[in-house]
Amino acid sequence: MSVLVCQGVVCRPGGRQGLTGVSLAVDPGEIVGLVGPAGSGKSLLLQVLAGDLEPSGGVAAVNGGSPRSVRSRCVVGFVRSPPLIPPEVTAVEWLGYVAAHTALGPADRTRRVQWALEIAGMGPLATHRVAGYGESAVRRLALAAAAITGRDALLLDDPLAGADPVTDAAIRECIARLAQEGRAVVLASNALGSIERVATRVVVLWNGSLAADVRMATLIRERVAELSLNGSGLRFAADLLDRYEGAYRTGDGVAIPLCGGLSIEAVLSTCRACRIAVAGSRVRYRMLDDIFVVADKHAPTVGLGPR
Amino acid sequence: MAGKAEVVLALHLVTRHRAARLTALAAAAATGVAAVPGNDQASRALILAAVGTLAAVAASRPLAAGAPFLSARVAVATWRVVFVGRLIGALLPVLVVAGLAVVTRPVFGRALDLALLFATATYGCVLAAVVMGLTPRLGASAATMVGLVCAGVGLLALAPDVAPQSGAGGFAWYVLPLSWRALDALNGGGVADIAFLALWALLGALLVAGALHTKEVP
Repeated sequence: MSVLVCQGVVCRPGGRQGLTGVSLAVDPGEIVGLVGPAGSGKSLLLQVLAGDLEPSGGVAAVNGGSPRSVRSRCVVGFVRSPPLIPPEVTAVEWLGYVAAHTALGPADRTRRVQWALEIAGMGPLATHRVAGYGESAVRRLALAAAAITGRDALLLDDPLAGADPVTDAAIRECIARLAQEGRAVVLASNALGSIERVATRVVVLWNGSLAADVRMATLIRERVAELSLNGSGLRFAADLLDRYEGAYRTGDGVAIPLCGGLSIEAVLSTCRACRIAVAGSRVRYRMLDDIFVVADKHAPTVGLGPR
Repeated sequence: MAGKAEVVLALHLVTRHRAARLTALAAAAATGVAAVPGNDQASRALILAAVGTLAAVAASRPLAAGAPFLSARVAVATWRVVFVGRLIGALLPVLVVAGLAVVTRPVFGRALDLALLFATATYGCVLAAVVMGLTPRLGASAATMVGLVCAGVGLLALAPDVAPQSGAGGFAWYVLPLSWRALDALNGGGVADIAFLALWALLGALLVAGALHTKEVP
């Protein structure tokens, strides 16, 4: 049974565009990367699932119950963007405060705080006040606090912002570890490279609706043919874009997703038949950026090949 | 354990905030001046106003907009635990100042006034509850200002011609939890003043409950 479920969720706080019928289900252990341009509704969807906002249409549920119920809120950890942690407290004090509300006793509270400090890698910062932390340290602390609260699910709004490559890898490892323990994770971010490395599934939001929903296994299977069209060939780029679904322009040519049995040989054969001069070609793995670009062109829905 | 966590968090938020620390120093100085031999009524009014001022500033921190307010949602705490815990946490420094103000009076040749200690503690609690209730709605600064007005206007009781009970019967601020109310109760004014202040404390608790149960997070 899915931990987090959205069915046709509509939410327009303050008359903004908001969400216009988003459906999504996240299973235990799954890490869903939520990507989309600024204002596409990523944070809004997380707020709905966290119970901070009530959808005006559709249904949002956590373990089958309302996200606003105390029962649901007790099993969902939410990292807001930017994280809201009082600057006056230290990491140990903050985690102790959060753990005190769910721990079974003082010993359990101490154990949870130690565990959270360890998974977030707070190290020597643990006893310093949050006011002196850098951006990524605050986000790591927020992730640790969410891990204490979120027994079943974690909603992470841009936890990778401002992180250097080492911290980025540490946060990804932490998220993967928490998911391995059976938590459903929704990770909203535009750090596509990091999402690609950690997510098991990627959802693209565009203008408040779901533009794409693809599993990483599918993404890894798929390839993209990149053609370099020099000189006169560039004039025919538009023909190729029309002919192949999901194709898009690159610097000096086009990129064509090789899905549905399409091969590079078939593409080159078509070019020869149409007398389109191809200066060079290569096949590469499909990346998250490709989906993002396709979603931009074909929003609200795009074909992404077999799931 | 959750209640204790709320008390400790509130204490951290208050004692580690510059404005609250400076107000505590000013209030301690004012109560020191009030202990000097002289008009007993003026001394009591000054102590009540000083403690009220500190209570107003301290109580604006535990539920200030942003992290302090949302921390209750992060920890999924019930409004009762949040309200009582954070009120106690905010009041601890207030009670220390109030206690010092009363205990040091004999040093200056005044009688130990335990009734004043009770009145200042009660008034500090009421004003802190009101400011805490108003903070999520008005913001910390505006809520503190309401508290400062209530504590400061009470000093008018010292001027017989402008005392709230005589010259401003229909005046709107007469319904506010003025420090004059606590002074009146201290001077044998009766249960009405205490009941009036208790109603304000209740209103503060209800405002906190309402703010923590709002449909949408601000």
